Amino acid sequence: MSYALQQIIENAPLLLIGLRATLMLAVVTLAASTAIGVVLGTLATLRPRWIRACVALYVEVFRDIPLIVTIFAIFFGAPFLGVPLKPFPAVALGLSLWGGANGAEIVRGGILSVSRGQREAATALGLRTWKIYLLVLWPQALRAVLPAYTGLLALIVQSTSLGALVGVTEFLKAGGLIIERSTVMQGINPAFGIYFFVLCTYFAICSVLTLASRRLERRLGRQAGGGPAIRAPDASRL
Amino acid sequence: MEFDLAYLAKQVPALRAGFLLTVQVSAIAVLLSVGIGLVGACLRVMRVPVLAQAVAAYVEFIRNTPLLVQLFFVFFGLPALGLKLSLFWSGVLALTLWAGAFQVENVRGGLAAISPGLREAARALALSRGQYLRLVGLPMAVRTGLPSMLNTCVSLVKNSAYVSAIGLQDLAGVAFDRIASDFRAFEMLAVLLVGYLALVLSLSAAVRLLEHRLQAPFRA
Amino acid sequence: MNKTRFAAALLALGLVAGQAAAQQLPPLPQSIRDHGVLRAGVRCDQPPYGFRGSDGGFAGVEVEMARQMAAWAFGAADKIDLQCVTADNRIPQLNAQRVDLLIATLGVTPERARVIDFSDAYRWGGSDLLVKKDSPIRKLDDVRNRTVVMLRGTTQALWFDANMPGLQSLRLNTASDALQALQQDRGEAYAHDAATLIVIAARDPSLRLVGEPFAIADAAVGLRKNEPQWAAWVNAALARMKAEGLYTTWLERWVPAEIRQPYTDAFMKPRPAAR
Repeated sequence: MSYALQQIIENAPLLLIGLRATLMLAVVTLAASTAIGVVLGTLATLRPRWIRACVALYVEVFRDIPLIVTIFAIFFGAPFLGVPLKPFPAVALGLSLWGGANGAEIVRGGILSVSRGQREAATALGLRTWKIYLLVLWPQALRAVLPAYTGLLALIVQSTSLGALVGVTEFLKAGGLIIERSTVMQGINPAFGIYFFVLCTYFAICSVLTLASRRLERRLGRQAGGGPAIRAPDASRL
Repeated sequence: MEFDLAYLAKQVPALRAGFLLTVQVSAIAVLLSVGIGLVGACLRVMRVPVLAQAVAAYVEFIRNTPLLVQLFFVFFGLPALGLKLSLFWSGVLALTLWAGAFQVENVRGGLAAISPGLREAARALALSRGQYLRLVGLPMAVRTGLPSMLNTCVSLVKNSAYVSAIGLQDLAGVAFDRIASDFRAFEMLAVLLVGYLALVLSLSAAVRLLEHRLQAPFRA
Repeated sequence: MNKTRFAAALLALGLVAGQAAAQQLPPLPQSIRDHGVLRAGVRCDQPPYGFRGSDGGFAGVEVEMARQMAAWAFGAADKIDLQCVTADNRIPQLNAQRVDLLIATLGVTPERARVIDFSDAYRWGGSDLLVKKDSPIRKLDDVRNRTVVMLRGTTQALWFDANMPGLQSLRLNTASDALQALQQDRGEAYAHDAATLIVIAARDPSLRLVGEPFAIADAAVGLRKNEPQWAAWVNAALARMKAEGLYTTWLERWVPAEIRQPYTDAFMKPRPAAR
């Protein structure tokens, strides 16, 4: 175990590079997922049935296909479609499409949780649809959505580890490289210690986010309309 | 870009074997994880000293760490402790531990949803905690928690694809292996996308049907 | 003319001829020149061709080849961007334009030729099996009912799929994972390029090679399709490396003398036949 610790300290720069890549991937994915989620989640609350059906189809597809398959599909498939996508963009795209699907569900729930009275009052005041969303529905949905969104961020951080499988040097991959080097050069395998360290680091980051999500849920919990708090997508829905 | 049906036809035996492996891994992991869920929830509800806290810590740890890293830890790391499992059992163990944590929460949720009246009635009848759980609590909890428990099971089947990352030749593993050797990404990915979608959708539909049936006595 | 003048004239002639030879490389394509550095994919887990040196940096004969190409293309050996690739992600990385060439123990196979182009072969390589010293496996066919560890996407994987389809194989992602699996008895044999297995066996007395070569293939530089100008440059660079005897120099640096002969043969002699 102490050998593993020694390896971690010696290779701290490499691990930090990996951690930086993980966080960058998470931030990019969060931004893109938010964009996709807000657009699709809002569309899912419009009246025309075909729009809602399209969004439901997208959400279903990206939540039902294993995330690992989505990412490999983009990474291996993109060159065949003539779009050369480097590993980082490929993973970011795959995670964003999945994150957007989850985000859409959260946003949809958030908008629907705003009491009908609000929408009716806004319509009675003669506001046009896009103004209703912008001025009335989105701001109120935001309160409902925040706890669940923080939970989603925890999931996104965890899923960045898939980048290791297609060649992105993120945190998990950095750990793997240390193990590889040690195994081949010194014949000692620190896999137990290194992977345990990787697990603990993810735990440190994600538990902070999860706790924040739970605290936000308690504080912002019940909306003005009295609807139930939006549940964060459970990690089991990964 | 051509779609080579003949190539796909030749891969069918390997893909079928992979699919079988997916089913095996998922089925065993589902059963074991439900077991962990029931035992873990009981330990927490009965507030068994030390074990209850251990279960709570276990659940928090699993929920806040990536499944992929857990898998790598089980397959590459545990041998250092003398626990060297085969590829198959490493995959099963990792998936079981992962889903087990969520099942603990699902069963706890079901137990918490039991109306206090029932608990008081059980106490009035002088049922011990254990008897309460066995005769009243768990059956009711499972009934209430069944939707979320089954959803976790479906997620487990879906995420069984992760075991391909350590080289297990399940459906995803066979497909990725073929892509690495033959480069027919389009054909293999099409199989994977259709395969997993079909699998998850049909399981979800079955779950919804079951929920509908179970709700029958409660509908007006 | 006295002796000194004669020698000087010969020397001058030699220098001029050398310069002329140096200028024999065709022009570098603009798309490559635009990057400013040579972006090459190399192995980081396969000694002696591509691996991590004791200082953690890139090391090995193929890494030297890449550095030399960088020197000829951009004027300095450090004008290079080396990327570690594995057997299963090297070709996608090339096609995704993360790298512009692969000098990564890439064997020439018809499946790969469908999706990428190969340069002229610069060496050949065979496969072998690594087993524990006391293993009952003595020849290739002995593995038929046993578990063999290999890497995904390698020539060995292709060979076993074609020649022993029912074989129980453990397909992992890196050489170190495979070595670990062998040492932990997860598999009874580890099949990989003989070149790498020889180095591993030399380092670890508890392992030995079975010694029956199979799946011998040419190794070439991997290039994207439809880049004829770049291919011409790479081929010329490879020819120049051979003509200037650089392979011998690099082999001397990276391969201990006692095991060097098979490697020299791989670069210099024609490819033999095997299963």
